[in-house]
Amino acid sequence: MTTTHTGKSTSALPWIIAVGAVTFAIGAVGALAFSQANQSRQNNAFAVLAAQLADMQVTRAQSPDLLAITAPVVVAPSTSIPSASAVLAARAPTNMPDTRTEEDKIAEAIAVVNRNKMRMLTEGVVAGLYTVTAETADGSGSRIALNSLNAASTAKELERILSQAAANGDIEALGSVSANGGAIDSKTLLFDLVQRSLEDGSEKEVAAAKEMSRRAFEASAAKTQLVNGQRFYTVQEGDSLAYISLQFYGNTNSYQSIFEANRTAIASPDKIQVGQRLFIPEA
Amino acid sequence: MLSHKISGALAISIGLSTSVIAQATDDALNVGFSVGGVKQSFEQSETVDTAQVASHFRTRTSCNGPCLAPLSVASNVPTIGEREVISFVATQVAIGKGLLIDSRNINDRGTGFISTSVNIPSALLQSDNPFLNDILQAMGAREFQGALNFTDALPLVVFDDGPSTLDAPDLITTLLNLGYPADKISYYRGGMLVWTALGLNTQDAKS
Repeated sequence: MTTTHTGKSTSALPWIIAVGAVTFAIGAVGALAFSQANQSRQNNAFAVLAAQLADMQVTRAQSPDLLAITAPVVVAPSTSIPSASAVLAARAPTNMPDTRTEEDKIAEAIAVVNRNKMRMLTEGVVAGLYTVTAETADGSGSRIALNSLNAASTAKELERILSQAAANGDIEALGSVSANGGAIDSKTLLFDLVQRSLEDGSEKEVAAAKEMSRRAFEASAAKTQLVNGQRFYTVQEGDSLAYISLQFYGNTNSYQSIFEANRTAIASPDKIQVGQRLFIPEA
Repeated sequence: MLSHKISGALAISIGLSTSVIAQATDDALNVGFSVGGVKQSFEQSETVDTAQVASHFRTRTSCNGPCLAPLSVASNVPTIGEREVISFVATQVAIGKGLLIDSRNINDRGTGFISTSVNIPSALLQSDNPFLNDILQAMGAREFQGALNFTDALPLVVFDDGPSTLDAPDLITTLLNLGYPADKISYYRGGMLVWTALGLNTQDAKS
């Protein structure tokens, strides 16, 4: 009995190996096919994004576009809002040093978000249909944020797009809007983008941008300490340097002056720490 | 000019670090503290100067309507008594973390005032006063391009001549309209009338 059993096992072994090998081969081919299909889907999605962005660029050049007005805001006079290819090229791995300015990166962020949605927000701001405070996610208080009354869901969608774009590397996270936890401060970035969009527009839009500043400054809940006539602020959870600037100057542009005034304590704009005490210079 | 004086007085009150020597207790009302290196105290006399008390009473003709101050000026603005005033001065004004505001006009203040108070009549806080923002900044507000933020504004206790006058309610209403947070303001309704009737010491304008 034992010999017979052993003989059967011996004769079955090659079959088992053969079946296993065939199964492995089928699995490997299947996995490869799936991987290629997935890659193909990603490439297609990427191509669609590129096409959409390219379309936006063409549209901007051909018809009046509120955000197109923001192009001169970019410091370098020769730089306009980058084309889709430029945005995508910026994502490509390169050994060249990144020489883009903060303004370049902001232009990239504007290029990524949907222009029509941005236009809804800016038009609402010009019409005064907004507040500048929003409840924190944990309900512990309120923070300065663009709280659109005419396009609330659009604002949330743009925040999500900006966060996602930063997470995916589609836009370079700006150091100044990097919260102390490392994540992009999408609410502050959106406030900034809308305000910058208005600053170089019509007289009415410029006034709306200033009104945003006034409302943000008045709504700020940032407590300070005066020491020998100098004002100090203690960094809170979720703060970015841009957000701190927004609280004390009504815009994010002045983050640089806070950074410069605290160079001995801050290595770079995204390196602020909770509990750190920062000197807030007079405007 | 007057505004400059007010601002200067506020600056002195805010800027000079002080120390509290003692605080009010149930057993002893006398409270000593130091403001700008000058020792001061609240004491209760066993006698009352009735003439001084009477000087803080306003007749019916001096009011636009009944000379009766409301018990409550506004929601979230507590009305407080003498013990709270004394405690506020000893624990907050004395270290530059609060302001005791005499809302009477300068002539009425000349009849004597509560020590450590600063004089800010509501007329000073009208929008046509070019020093309005300066005064509010001296009270702790932050200013940027004409806009004001009151997050760092100092806690205030506002008083006037007492229940028969409306200077303090008027000033509190003005402050609230300017955006001063209600939770940073307290109303001492008793004012000079009750303060002196209780034999609490005052400071002479000439001293």
